Amino acid sequence: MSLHILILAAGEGRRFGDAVKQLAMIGDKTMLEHAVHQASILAPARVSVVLGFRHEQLALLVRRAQVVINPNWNQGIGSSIACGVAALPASASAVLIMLCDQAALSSFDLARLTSRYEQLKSNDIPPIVCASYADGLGVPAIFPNHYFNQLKELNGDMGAKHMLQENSVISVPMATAAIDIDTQDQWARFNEHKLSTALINPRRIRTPEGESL
Amino acid sequence: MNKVKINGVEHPIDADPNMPLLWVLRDLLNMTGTKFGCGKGLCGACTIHLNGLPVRSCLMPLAAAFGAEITTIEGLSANGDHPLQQAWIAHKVPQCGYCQSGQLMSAAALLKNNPTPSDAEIKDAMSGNICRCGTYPRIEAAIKSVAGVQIHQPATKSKGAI
Repeated sequence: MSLHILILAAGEGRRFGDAVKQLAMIGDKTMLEHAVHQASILAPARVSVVLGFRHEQLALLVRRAQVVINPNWNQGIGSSIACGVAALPASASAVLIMLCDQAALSSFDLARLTSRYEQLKSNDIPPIVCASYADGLGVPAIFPNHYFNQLKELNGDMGAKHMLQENSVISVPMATAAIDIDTQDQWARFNEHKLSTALINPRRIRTPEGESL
Repeated sequence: MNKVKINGVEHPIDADPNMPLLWVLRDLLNMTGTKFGCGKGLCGACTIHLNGLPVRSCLMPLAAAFGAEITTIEGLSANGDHPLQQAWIAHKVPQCGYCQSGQLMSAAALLKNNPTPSDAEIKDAMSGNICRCGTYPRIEAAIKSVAGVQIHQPATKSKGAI
């Protein structure tokens, strides 16, 4: 029984314009490869990526992770979560869901989340552990397997956010989770920002004061 | 002071919580069995177990180990006699040997969680561990020779601990 990581990368990224967002460079890797890499540090061989838009092309970049194709990707994020969770092996005790375009997330952030979950997973009913940032609660979030059926029933454009509000969840402050890249402009600013330097050398990312695990 | 449980022994650690675990192991605790390869989570040489599952310690913050159980190559077995370690010897797996502690940790985590893996599952689980000498066929043969054998991994260990 182990924790798996599910990366959502099926969307068209319409606001990104004509370029394929998953192929935008973050440091020395494409956004897609960057996300898979950060996840693989924490969970080697337990990473799945949901692809949809341009999946023939993007799947070529996914190494050391399972590719799940969501044929209904254009219905929205809910359908991709359902598709990805349905493809998890029976041995998955929990799933960490993250977005490919959360480009500031590092393996350090994911580790903080999984460490918190490790402390709580032996509870009678293990709770959802998710990131919290200025906008409230969100992904990356860890769902124990008793939520899998509910995740598999998601569809359309409705993600899992409502599940974070309806259940008592444990949150971990994570400023980097607030950054997702939707437009070319955000991407350019992100790469200029010092965070991109930190990404090349993740040890430079500091845990803010008081953010203990 | 924060404590970290490594191979069943609690170690008080006075270091930046963001220090990578590999640095803690090698430089602070002098446990040099875990190797520095690329420092970027790409090669697998630094693989250790965090709560029984493999992670790349070069990019895992010390803070991730607070309250967790860490196992390194030094703690894989009490006397270097884990079935995989014996198989490694029997199959003469290592050439230069540098990557092998990481290879063993990945293989041990695989068999602990899946005692009878298929060939594809072995390839999958080991695909993140790179060997410059190309010992892959022997690694696979050694893993297969142990697959299905009962493995007792000690929860605690005294020998070799500080």
